[in-house]
Parts: sequence; structure tokens; C-alpha cells
Amino acid sequence: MQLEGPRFVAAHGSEHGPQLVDVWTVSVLPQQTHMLVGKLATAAPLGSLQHLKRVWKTTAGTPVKMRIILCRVLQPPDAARPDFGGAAVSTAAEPHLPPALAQLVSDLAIAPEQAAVPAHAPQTREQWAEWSQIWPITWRQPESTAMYLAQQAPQLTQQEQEGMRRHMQRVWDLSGCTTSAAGSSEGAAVGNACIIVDPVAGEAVAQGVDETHAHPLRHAAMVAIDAAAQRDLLLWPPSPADAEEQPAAKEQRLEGQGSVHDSTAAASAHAHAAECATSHSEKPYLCTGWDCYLVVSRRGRYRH
Amino acid sequence: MNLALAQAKEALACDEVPIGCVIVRDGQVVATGRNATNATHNATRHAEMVTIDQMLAEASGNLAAARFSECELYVTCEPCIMCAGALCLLRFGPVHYGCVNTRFGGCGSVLDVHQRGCGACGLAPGELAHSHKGLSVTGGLMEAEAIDLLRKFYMTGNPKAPRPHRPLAGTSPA
Ligand SMILES: [Zn+2]
Repeated sequence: MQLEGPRFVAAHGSEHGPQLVDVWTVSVLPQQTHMLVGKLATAAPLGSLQHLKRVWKTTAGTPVKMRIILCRVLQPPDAARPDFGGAAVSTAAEPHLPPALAQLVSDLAIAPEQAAVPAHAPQTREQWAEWSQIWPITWRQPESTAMYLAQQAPQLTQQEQEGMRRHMQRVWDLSGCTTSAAGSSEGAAVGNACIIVDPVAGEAVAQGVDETHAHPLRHAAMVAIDAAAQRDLLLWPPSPADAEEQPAAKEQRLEGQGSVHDSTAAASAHAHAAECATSHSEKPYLCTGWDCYLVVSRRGRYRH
Repeated sequence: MNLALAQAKEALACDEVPIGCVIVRDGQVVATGRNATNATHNATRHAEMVTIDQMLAEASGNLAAARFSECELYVTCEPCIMCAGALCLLRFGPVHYGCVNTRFGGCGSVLDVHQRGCGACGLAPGELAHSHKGLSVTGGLMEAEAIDLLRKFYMTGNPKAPRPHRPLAGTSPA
């Protein structure tokens, strides 16, 4: 298989557009906006939807209306599940709103409408322009890894790109090896594969394929992380000093953590920290700093 | 939750991030576990995962026998994004947590996995709705006790974490 060059893909989106989430909205007259927004700020903070503009002016029709987000539509994952009790279930006919909002809405005598809005903040200006068509969004420069990658990706050297293609080829081959298990009775997502790469050495340190036929959570990435942990334990076994620490001393150290006046405990804690620093200085911390290559197959389906 | 806190205390005594977990079914405690990331060198060995594995082992790996949908889970700290996804995939019953996890929480603090549900790896975005299974979650149960344990742990930093990863006292758990 011929692999293309690495390409940056922003989080929370795909070629199908952003992930959407349903919200309740109302359209009110401009003079009602100030009072309503003030009350909503305390009664129903936007929470994870802070990237959205809570209020915007609709240009269609007269008089001019302001469209305002009330809150998220709470949808039960499965209406039949008794633990949701139907209490949080909303339907178009009868929206279920928190009591404070229900009162506000009934005072206004306006029926709320549902809208599907982007669930996450856009990671790029392009996403922002596209997603704002769905619901107006405030642009904020993300300080995320994704943004860092967006800036770094075009500057990858030829050698780095070669390396990435080599690793991706390897995990691709790995995923192909698992097709023989496709007929497993569990119908598990076979074909998924993962490798973990030490980018400094340019070598794979661990790999894994989907094992959900044996355990529902043994996804390829989890298997690979487990393999990396096993390797880590072999290369850097726990130091005997860790195991030999007397329970009494440990108790004292833990008790003394909040107090700088307890010199015995402080000294003990300091000694322990120094010992950890020397014994683990060349060792990676878990998988921090390592790269992950993943092939996800659309063939398999997780069912039970 | 007291049993989950006891598990968290045991984790603290072992230099692990002090988070504990208990699974209850038919009014009986069927599994207990605690964070074991430092001992296993595996960042995914969270209390919930350890406890789920204990249940599965007792059911000889039989998913149906484990009856996760009839189980309630108590954990001292809000499940992270990974654990919330795992609990959704297993169709878990009600989840009760102690303190919020502002850095990695998957039940509202960072992502709303409990509301969105979690598809299996390999589903197209549009397919998520089809496999949509969320969680019924309540938080704040014995919150102060849960925070107190985490504060004790982070007071000196995670001894196994390198300097750049050592959070300051009073910050959120890993
Ligand atoms: Zn977790």
C-alpha cells in the first residue's frame, strides 16, 4: 500500500463536520434579551458549550429577534432504561427543563425550539468559519496540542515523514494479520492495531491488536499500552528500596507531608524523592513523549 | 463509598494516586479496586479498570455473567474520559463519584461522555448515535474525604512522576 504524507487533522471534527449536540433555544425581542441573559448566566451556565455565542440576532423576518441558548437537551441513552426514570427526558412536544428555566420560559410564554450546535470549540480558523454557519461561535486561539501540531506538521523533515510512513506501514501490516479472526462469534472489532514508538530512537517499543473477543476493553491501544508497561517493568524493575521501605516509616512520611516542622518526616520524604530521582532518571514516565500509530478498521462491529 | 475511600487510602499507602472503587450488585459488594498506575507502569490502570477486571476475572471473562448493567459503581473521583467510555461500552448501571476531576473528567468536567455515550473503536462519526449508551451519574458523595486524600498525595507530588509532570499542591488528580 502506498501511504500519503502525514496530514494534520484537527480534533473534534471530520470530513462529516463537527460533532453536534442538541440545545433548547428561544427567540425573543431585543428588549427582552438583557433580562433573560442575566438570569440564564446564573440559572444555566453554558458549561462545556462556552465556545458558542449564547445570543445572536436573527436576520430573517421582522421584527428582529434574538436567538438565545437556554440549556442542553438531556437525552437518555436509552429511554427504556429505568435508571433514567424519564425525568430528564425531553421531547419536542414537551421540553423538560430545569425548574428555574421552566419558570423563565413560562413567564415569556414562548415555546422553546431545539437546535443542533457544535459540541466542541473549533481548533482551526477554517473549522471556525465552517462551524459558525451552524451556530455563531466565538473564535479563541486554542493552546492545545492540536494547535501545536497544526503549526509543526508542515515543518516535518523528509526523514521524519519517512519514519512516520514506515511506522504507519508497520501498524497497517499488523492490522492485516488479524483478518483470520474475523469470524469470531463475538463479532468483535477485529483488525484494529496499534504500535507505540519512541520518537527519539525511531523504533516501536510495543504493539497490540484488538483482543475484544477475550475481554470487552482489550482494544488495540489498550493492549499496546499494556505491552509498553510490561516492557517498562522488565527494563526498569521496581527498585528494592521501594519495596523495603518499612510501613511505619512510610506512615510517618505520609503523615508528615503537610508539615515542614516535622524534620524527621521531611527528611525522610526528601530522601525518598532523591532516591526516586536517581533510580528513574533515564526511564520514561509511563508512555509520556511516545508516539502512537493506530489503524482502526471499519469492518468490525462491537456487539453483545 | 466508605469502602471505596478505604481502597483509596490503601492506594495512598502504596504511593499510588489515592482513588478507590467499589462495584455493588443486588446490594452486595462484588468487586473492589484502587489505582495501580505506578506499580504496573501503566497509565490506564485506574481504579475503575482494576475493579472491572476483578469482576470479569470472577465471571471467568464472561461478559453476560458479569451483568454490568445491573451493577452500581462507586468511585472516589469522577471517572476520566477513558473510564467513562469504558463504563458506557459495558452498559454500566448508575455511577456515583466523590470529587470532580477537572483535568480529565469524562462525566461533565472535560467531556460529557456520560451523556454522549461511547462507540467502539472503528465506528464512523454518524454511527455513534446508533450505539449511544450513556451513564446515569451522580457526584459529590463524600467529596471532602476524597479531596483530602488526593491533597495528601499531591502535597509532595507523585513520587514516580518526573518533575515537569509534578503538579502543585491542591491541584487536580491525574
Ligand atoms: Zn480513569
